[in-house]
Amino acid sequence: MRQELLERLGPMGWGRPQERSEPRSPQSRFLVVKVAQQEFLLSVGVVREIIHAPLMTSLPRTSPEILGIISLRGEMLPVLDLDRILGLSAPSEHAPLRCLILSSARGSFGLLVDDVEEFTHLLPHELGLMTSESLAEEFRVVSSVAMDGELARPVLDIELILSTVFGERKSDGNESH
Amino acid sequence: MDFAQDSVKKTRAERALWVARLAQIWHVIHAALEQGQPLPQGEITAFAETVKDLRKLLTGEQWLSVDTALADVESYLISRDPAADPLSADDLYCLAQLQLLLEKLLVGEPRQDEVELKSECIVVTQRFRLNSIQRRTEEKLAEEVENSAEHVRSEERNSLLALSQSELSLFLIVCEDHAAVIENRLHTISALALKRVFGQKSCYIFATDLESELVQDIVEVPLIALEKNSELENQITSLLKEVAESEANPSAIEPTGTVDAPVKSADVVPDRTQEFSTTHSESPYHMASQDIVDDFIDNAEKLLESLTESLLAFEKNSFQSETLDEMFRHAHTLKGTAAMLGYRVIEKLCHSMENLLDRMRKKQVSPQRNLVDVLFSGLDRLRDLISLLRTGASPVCPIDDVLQLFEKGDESHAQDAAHGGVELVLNSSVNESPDGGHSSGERSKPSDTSGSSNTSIRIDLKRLDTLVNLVGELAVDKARFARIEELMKARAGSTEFSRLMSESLLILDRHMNEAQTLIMKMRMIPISTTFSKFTRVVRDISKQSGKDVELVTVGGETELDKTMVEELYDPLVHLIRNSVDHGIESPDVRESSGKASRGTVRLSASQQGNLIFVRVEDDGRGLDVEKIRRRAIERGLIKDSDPMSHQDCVNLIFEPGFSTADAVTALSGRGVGLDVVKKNIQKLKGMIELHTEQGQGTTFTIKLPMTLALVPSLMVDAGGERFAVPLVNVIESLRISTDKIRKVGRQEFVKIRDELVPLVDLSQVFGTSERQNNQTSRSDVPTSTMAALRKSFVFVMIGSGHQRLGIIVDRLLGQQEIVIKSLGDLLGKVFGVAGGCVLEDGRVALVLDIAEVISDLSATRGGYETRAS
Repeated sequence: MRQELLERLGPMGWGRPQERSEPRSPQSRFLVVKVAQQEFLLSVGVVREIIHAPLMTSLPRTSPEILGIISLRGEMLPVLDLDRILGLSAPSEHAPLRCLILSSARGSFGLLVDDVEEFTHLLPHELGLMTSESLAEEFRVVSSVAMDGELARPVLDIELILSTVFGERKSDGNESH
Repeated sequence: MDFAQDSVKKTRAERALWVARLAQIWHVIHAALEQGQPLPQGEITAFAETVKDLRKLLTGEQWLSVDTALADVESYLISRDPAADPLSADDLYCLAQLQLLLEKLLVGEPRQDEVELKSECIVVTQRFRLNSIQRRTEEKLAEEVENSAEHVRSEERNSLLALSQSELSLFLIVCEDHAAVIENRLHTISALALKRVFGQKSCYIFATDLESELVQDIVEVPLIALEKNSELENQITSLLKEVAESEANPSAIEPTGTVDAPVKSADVVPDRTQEFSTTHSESPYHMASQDIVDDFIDNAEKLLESLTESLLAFEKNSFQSETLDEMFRHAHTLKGTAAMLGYRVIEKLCHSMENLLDRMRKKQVSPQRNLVDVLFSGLDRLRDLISLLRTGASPVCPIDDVLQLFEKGDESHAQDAAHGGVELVLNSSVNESPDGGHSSGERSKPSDTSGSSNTSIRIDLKRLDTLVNLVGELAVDKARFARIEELMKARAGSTEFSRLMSESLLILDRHMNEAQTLIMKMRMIPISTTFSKFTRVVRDISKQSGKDVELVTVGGETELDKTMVEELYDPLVHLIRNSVDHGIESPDVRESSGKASRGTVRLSASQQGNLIFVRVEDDGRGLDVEKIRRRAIERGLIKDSDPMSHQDCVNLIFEPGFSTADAVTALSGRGVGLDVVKKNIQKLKGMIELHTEQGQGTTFTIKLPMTLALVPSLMVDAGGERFAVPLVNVIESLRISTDKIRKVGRQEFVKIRDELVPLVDLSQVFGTSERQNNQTSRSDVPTSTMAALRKSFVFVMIGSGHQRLGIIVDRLLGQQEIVIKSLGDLLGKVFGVAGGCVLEDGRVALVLDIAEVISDLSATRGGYETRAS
């Protein structure tokens, strides 16, 4: 009877949870952004909205990666310069066009990019082909490199971006040293 | 005179008519109830309407408390839904009691026990009100229990009953992941009897004919087998409760892997009977709404405040019997409400206090000043008990010592008199009219606050803050529309459309202003709420220090943001303590220097534009500037060679740890305080100034914005960026020619009215120009070089505490009320920036943190040395 029941459940897609093929979650969808003529991937899950490059107010004595601050419907958000974070020097085709509003556990912020190219879906085996250790120091905000068809694109990690610009998140005291 | 007497008689006759009408209505209600008929709702409405008519005749301050109490009954009776909210027997008893009390109070000649009758009226109405709140709370609780996740609902009960009578086995599972998948599997193998979701966890109770092992293999979650007995429902309720608690407190329970192990409800549900009974015995209302307790705390605090004021007035005005009546009434009201909520300790203390007051009223005890001290100690203990209640603790603390004092009040007085005890020199508050003249000496009677909640509602401050912020945002939106209108006019000229737009904007502007004023007023309270506390403070300190000090308060009606009034208390206590302890001389010293033996501390508040000025002045000895200088040199704060102005020396007292007191007293002298006072004032976006003349006295002036929500600011442009400078920090703005700049080392100064004020270029300090133009740093370029490019420049003289700084800007853009917003957690504190505000074009202007900008100058370019050179 046991076997019978398991067979009955199998074709209906009710195998053991770990055996089922996972549906495509938002984490496997990426936004392709362009900075200094290079393309990067950013998980769609962290993108709150995409706006036109806004007018910013610069902040005194802050790190050079912080371009300034904007008000998004009354909410104050710092805007970061991806170009500078990645240390890219190639000239852009035009002034940055888009600002991505990103959400993280540490708070929301804006990330200025030259443009947003497209959305792309990636399967698990297409991700993590190369780890960030193999990349240049400037690419410390890249978590891995993905192959999208014939294209190799670095995947940006917003937590790494934040710790690069604002420093590590303060410990809540429970972590061991 | 005859006319006045006639008028009084006429009013009493009219009142008697309405009271008779009440009696008539009550008679009809009573008759209906006696005959077992339903409650005549029409008569209840008539009762309320009659109360309303009666209230119109209860004019004058002496009826205020009764009137507000009756208003509460009236509004409740009229607004309630008779079907949903029927009156209980106790409610009706309250109404009957109220009718009898009003009859005694209002019919016939004025009675001796009028005060007691009024108090009884208030207590009865409060009991009526509490009944209704209690009933609603109980109904709500019952509804909540019925709908609570742990409760087994009636349809589920039927389903469980049917399943438990079948051959099937009953199981419970709790899953956190793949709930939807597991639920689908359960549907294929079992009958689902109950489902609950507690946050991340989902619970299912289902019946199946499969073996438990197989079921577990399929669902892959631990099972709990349920025993099919009469306790099944309790067992399920307990299990659900356990899961709900574990969700709320994950460490409280470990997920169980028990299979086929029957779980008894007693094993999982802790016995709370004892806990409940203890709480219950403390207060029958503890299980009721927190609102009732909050309401009680608010009223109790107001009553204690009124009692304190009355007691001070009683002491000052030669023990007038009216004030004694008033105190008795307040104590009686507090006792009544405490008793209703079961706060026995408060009730007992009030009762004892009431007894003492009664003995004083009946002249059994002659009212003397040491009895005032006894009563004050009782009030202090009551305040402690209310504070305990506010923290959520039970209002219980030892009161035997105070009770003994109350009991033996007259005896101790007799003893003191026998010993020829030193009589306390009285220093109490004198109300002074704003024009400086003293009033006739009669304090205005403290208003009866016992029923004030009838015309007000409690609002969560967070909600109010959100509302204030939203209105601030609307003000910004309005400014954006105005800008669009300007653009339209500039591009298309004056058209019908633009005219309509202008009109609409004008109306919007008017409504916005009204809404803004009203909402801002909601946060405003008169500063007298804090001022009134200082009379007691001065009384106690002067008693301790053996000085004769009078506190004069002026401008208590000045309104300020509630939070600010509360935050201002500590700094003011400190300044007043300082004035009494350090400033005011002892009576013999004062007399020998030709002053009146009684010293005066004057506490005043006034509004000037959008700013509030609070002053603490004393006519004492003033500060000894030379002594301050010597002490500062001893402490290494300055060098002997430092040339310092009189004001620079005086301002040293705001330095941390600075004190010129030769001895540390219980009151002051430890040097902890004035720097804290300054910091606290700066936190309120204010500043403090000090003026002193030796032998003449000292004045502390605190300058504050009226509210922290909207900050009046001066908008400036520097290096292409706009900045907001809080107006409270702006001393003046000037245009001055470049040849007036003086240079000492790298630092530049400008001489303004015999004072050298250091200058900085705001765009340099904030590096805005270099960021804007993406050029090399200009920090090496001296200010004068910048200024030299222009023939003249505009600078704003700003101040924080005693420090001054001139900031060079490109343009002044005018004044604006701004909403300061935090820059967010990511950025944290940014140098020199207190926050940001949104401009009409949607961009952000930085709000300057003046104290930080000034201290940065002192730290980087030398503070006193540079300024003094």
